[in-house]
Amino acid sequence: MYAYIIRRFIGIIPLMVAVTFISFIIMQSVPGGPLAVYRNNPNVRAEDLARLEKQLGLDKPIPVQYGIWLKNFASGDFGQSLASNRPVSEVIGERLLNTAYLMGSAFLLTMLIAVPLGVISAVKQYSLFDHGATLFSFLGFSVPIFWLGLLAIILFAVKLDWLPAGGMRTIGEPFSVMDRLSYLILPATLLAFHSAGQYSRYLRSSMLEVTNQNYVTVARAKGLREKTVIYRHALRNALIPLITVVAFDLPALFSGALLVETVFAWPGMGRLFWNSALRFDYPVLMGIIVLTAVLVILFNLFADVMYAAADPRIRLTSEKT
Amino acid sequence: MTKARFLILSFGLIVMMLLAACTGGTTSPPAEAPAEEAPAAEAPAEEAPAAEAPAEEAPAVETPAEAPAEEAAAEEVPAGAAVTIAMYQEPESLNPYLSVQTVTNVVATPILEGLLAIAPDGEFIPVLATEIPSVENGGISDDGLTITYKLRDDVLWADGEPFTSEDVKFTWEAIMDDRNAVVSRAGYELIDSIETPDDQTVVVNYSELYAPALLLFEYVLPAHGFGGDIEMTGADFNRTAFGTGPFQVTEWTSGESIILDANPNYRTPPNFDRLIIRITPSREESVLLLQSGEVEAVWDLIEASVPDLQDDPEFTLWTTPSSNVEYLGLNLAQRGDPADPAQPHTVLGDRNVREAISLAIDRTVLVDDLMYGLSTIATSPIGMGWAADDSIEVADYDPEKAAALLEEAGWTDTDGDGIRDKDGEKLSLEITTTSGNKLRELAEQVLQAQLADVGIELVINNVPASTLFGNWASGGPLQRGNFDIAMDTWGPDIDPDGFVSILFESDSIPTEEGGGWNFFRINDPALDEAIAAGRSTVDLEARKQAYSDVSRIVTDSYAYIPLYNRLLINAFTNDLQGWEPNPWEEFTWELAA
Repeated sequence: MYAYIIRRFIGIIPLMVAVTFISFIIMQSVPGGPLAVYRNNPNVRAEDLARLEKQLGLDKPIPVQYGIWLKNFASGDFGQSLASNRPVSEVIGERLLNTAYLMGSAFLLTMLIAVPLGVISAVKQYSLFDHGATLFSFLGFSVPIFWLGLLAIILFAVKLDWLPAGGMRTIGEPFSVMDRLSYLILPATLLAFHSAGQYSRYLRSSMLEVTNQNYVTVARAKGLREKTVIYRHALRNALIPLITVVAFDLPALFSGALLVETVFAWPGMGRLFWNSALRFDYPVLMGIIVLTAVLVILFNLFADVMYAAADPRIRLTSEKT
Repeated sequence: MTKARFLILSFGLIVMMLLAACTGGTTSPPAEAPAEEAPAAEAPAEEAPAAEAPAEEAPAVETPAEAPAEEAAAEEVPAGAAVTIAMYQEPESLNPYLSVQTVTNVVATPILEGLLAIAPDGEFIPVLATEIPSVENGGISDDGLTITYKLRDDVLWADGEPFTSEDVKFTWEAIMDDRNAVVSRAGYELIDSIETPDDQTVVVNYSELYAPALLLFEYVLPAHGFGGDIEMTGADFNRTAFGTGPFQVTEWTSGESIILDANPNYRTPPNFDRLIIRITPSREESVLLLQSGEVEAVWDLIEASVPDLQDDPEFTLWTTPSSNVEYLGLNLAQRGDPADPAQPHTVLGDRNVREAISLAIDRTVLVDDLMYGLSTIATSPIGMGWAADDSIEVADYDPEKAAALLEEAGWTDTDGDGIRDKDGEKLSLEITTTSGNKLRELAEQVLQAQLADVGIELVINNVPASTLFGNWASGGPLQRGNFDIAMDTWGPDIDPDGFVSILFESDSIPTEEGGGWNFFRINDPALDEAIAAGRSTVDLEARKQAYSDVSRIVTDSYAYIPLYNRLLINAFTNDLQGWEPNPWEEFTWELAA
């Protein structure tokens, strides 16, 4: 298994080169470019544009620019933001924690809702609870989250004045847990509402499948208590398919959720990416893409390993099957 | 585009209002109110004249001041309170030389000061200089190549260091240093040398005449602010800026907020201690924050927000026409991809047709219905500032005359379908603008209906802004001349030279090699001459005449048809209404409390 993990790690390198090269080319081929914002400003004349192009290194051919980026990246330097001239690692770093804080809380809440919901729905299939949970799930992932977010703000912040409309904390006030929580409630709940439905559906169907299997019947026949059968024997196996789904979603813990961040003015990675894209801030975009790509690869690997841990029948080998 | 300066002025106003507001709010004994009010109104010398001018210019300003006085008093700002302003953009840097973003200048304005500033009426006012250099006071040499500034001797930087002529020289050297990715060196590169005979004197020597010279040094940077270095790119100063202005940066949390605290060394201490810039993802979010009471003011709204806030007694909407004019740009060259500027447009090449289009538009519908009666009809590309010529008028709505002009031009409706034709060709034109702008889409529909009344068919075909303003290589329709009529907004800076040159000079007709934004493809030697005259002298009267000529020639060509003045809109909660320069209002407040 360790050999497998090491091989997978080595495989990351060519993958990263491919991902970054393709991203770089696609970004550069979008018409506009970092200097487009200046183009119809009469104070920024053609000679200024030519000078800026040179100063920012945008006058070199695209493959050369990529080469320079790759060389710096290999030595751990993500470069400087074209817009703010600050190191990309700093620009991304200050957003990363904010995003992890929001997405982590939302993830926890999602699991707290999804797991019981999925299990109870499966155990009490076609009951009133099951139908209610199904309705909840479908509402959760079919109602647009930005719309729901705006409604929540109008209701809880503008009309009722219970919660703040947006942001992460009361600016300029000393740190307080209650203050942080009051800002966290709305965005985290909405994110959880959105994905809990999805996860609970997966869990429900996987539970249904598992509870119909022979070993569960055997467990019941042995006279085990129903609770033990469901939680110790059935749930453990039913969670395996969910691991894959969740592992795919985990990179979002750090890459953020653009819509929710925008609606709730959360200073996270999603908004950083969006603003950088509008501004053609290539170094920042590349930094975020690299980060996300690495996370996707790592969490996939993590899912594979978890698979093996959860299901003894699965063996990780580096040989082709 | 170039509404930057007017936005900054409007921001200056906000700060001004807030300064006054907090005086009202923090004064407890009524007897003291007038006494404290007085210094507040004068507080930042450069902003004082700014307070009255736009208020006079804007008859449409909403002032629901009297009615909600009790409410305002009930929620008044506590002593020493922070004032929070929502902005939908985040500055890239607080060094105004490294960014052309409007919001950079807006946030830098309470921090950094310049030698001179401009009031909304277009007049210069001294800030760090003691007087405005002129030929009369010896500040400008007779040949216009040497400008001497006398500096104030009582100014300290926020860190306590004295402000001297060396700082001015440093600012120029930093702008010209090749390590610094300065956005524009316009004007600064014409400076040969700067002499600093003493701490309070700066002598700027130009290699050639630069008419807008007094606009330079709009922000002076501290020479000691960059750790003994001159490199600005990537410097800490860009985020922790301090200057000679009333505020300095305390904390900047990206994507969330910038906290500005009072500069203890400012000449007149501001009446509130903290100004929080709340960065929001959108204007809509800003409005929600205002409505939920989390911010006291919202900067730079668009017209679409007006109905939401206009009738709400909790808020004050501050609107005034800006220098930006919404206009129709008509293509004088035959449309093509690319167009040949020598080949006149088969329809729009005829001045009678262009004049008929202008006469067929009832602008009062646009102003009263689309702009909620808050705006005014635009008459000229330069609608504001010292270069504006108020005597220029736009001919009244006259569909009969429009029809007569079209008849004269040979366009008649021979087949009775309601659309005029000539030689088998229909009088059908395409209008384009940026898609996704509700206000513009509605305006197009109004124009479509009005032009249909005189027998002109208008076909609407909008494209995204990035396409419309795309460069030659990416096939931008304006650059390549592949359009009939474009609806756009643009306005001059306080010095209109850059604006008129890039838009109307024949050298600015776009070509594959470059050019500017003369997408009308106006090529008029008289116009070129007037533009050149405007930039070849520092004499303000001669320049005014030149820009008056420019405006007249442009509007008379009907290639540029002005529609209405765009608005500057800010909103406040009524907590901040004490800014009204009315001592009785203060008194009412106190009584109600």
